[in-house]
Formats: sequence, structure tokens, C-alpha cells
Amino acid sequence: MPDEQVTPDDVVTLRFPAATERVRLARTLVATLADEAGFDFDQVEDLRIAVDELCFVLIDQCGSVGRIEVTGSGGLGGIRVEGRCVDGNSPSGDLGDLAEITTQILATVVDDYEVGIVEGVPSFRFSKTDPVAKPVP
Amino acid sequence: MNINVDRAGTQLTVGVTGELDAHNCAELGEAIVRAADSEVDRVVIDAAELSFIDSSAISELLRVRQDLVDRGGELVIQNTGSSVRRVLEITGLLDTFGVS
Repeated sequence: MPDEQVTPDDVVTLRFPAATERVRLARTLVATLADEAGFDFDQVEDLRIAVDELCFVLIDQCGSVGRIEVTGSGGLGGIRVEGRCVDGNSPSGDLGDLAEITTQILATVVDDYEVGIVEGVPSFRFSKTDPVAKPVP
Repeated sequence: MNINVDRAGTQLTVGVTGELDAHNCAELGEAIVRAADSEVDRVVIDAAELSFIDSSAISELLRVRQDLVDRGGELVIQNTGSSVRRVLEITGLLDTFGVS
């Protein structure tokens, strides 16, 4: 059986029901990508909580029949993650303000993030780079 | 997530195992409220086996803590691993939960 290696530039997409019990899947995806990108333990934990906070923001918007799609890519000491509602309700307006505690966390754990309505769909994105991280060979 | 509640006198020790997030944090709050009768004046969350906590869970713990404080009690978190400690540090709540 040939060796299978993860290409640093692989893009991975995860789609799951917009239900609170499924958010751990997104945490696992992001942790895996972050680990492969060479982030250390604490940085991986930071990225896990980032995707958790943002997925829970989307759950409130997607509706009971909606799904959340999370796409992540990482490599060479960086990671970028995007999320959006699919198959759900059309948003009635903007997403409103994030809870202060959520803002506090996100401002610390990632380099930059955005959350809002993009092309009519509740969405988020964030990224983090670590110039000293060394990807797993 | 698993919750183990142990009562010793007026202290309640609540061991939490696994990940604590918006999905299950209410379960923890309810378990504490159920067990913390009027004689309980100190609740200790044993976080030794708690591997993840998010803002929803922190908010729930703040709510439960406030109820205890209002009746003269306290809620502290002990044995925090680096992940839990990190979130409490970011949110400026280390002192609030008595984390040294």
C-alpha cells in the first residue's frame, strides 16, 4: 500500500447539521490541520476555541434544518478557516454583536477574524500564522 | 462529558471530565444547582480531567457562581490544565474563579 502523506496545501471541508452537539467535529478538524501546520499545543487549543466560538454564532443563524460547512487549509505555519451556513434559513439581518466574552477570546487566539453575512449567508473566517512553526514532514 | 458530584460537609466537589461547551454546559449548571442545597457554601470544580471550555460554559459557571455568592458562598475551579487556564486568563477570570 503506498504511503499517504498530507499535503500542506490540502483544503478540507466538513459539513454537519447546525446542532450544538456537532461542533466538536469542527474542533477536531481544526486541531488536526493546526497540528499538521506545526502549531504547538497551546496554539492548537487556541484554534480549537476559535472555531468553536464562531460555529456557535452560526448555529443561532442557520435554523434547525440548516447545516454548517467549515473549510480549513493549513501548511507552512499557517491556517485559514472559513465557515458558513448552508441549507438553512435566510438571515433576517446582520448577525448582531458578538458576546463580549467571545470577542475577548477571538481577539486573543487568532490573528484576524471576520463574522457576518457574506453573499446573503451567515459566515465567518479566521486565520493564524506562526512564523516559527515547522510543519510535520 | 461526565460529571461526578461529591459532597463533604458544606463543600461540593464537582469533577468534570471531557469537553464543556454550549451543548452540555447547562447540564453541569443543573447538576450543581441540584446538589448545592442551602447548606453548601463552597463549590469546587475539579478541572483535572476537563480538556476544553468555551465562552458558553464560562458564562454558565459565572451564573452558578453568582447564585452562590449571593447567598454567601463561593465557586472555585481547581486543577486547571493549560487549555482551561488559558481561556480563563484571556477572559480575565482567573481571580474570579480562584485559580492561582
